[in-house]
Amino acid sequence: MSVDPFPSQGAFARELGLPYPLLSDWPRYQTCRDYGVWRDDRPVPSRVTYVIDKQGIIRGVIESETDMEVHAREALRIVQELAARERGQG
Amino acid sequence: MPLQVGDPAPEFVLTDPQRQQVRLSDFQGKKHVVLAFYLLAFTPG
Repeated sequence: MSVDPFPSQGAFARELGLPYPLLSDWPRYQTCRDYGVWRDDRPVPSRVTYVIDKQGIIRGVIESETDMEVHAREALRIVQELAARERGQG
Repeated sequence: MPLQVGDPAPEFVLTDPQRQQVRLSDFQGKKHVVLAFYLLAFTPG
């Protein structure tokens, strides 16, 4: 998600062919503020990825301004761990 | 300051490109959610 208006998000998602929604926090940026990623010195959020489990608890926080790969890699690893734990319980 | 592991995730209401609202609570008990904040569309990350 980002602070782009949603028409811009739609064009970006179509260009990339993404299998998940790009969501817009425009124009109030309330989610950015609630999740602590708003920066008063710049009109864009920090690059942070959260993994939230089915119960609504944060299970992963990935912060890197420079390494975009680590966001995807770590988020996938944490989701796989959550799924494995569920299978173990089931 | 970002939130920490173990914190309850705040409810969000965001808008998808079809102008439908998406809420965190839509996924409660159903799916894990990856919420990635990035800078701007058409930028690499």
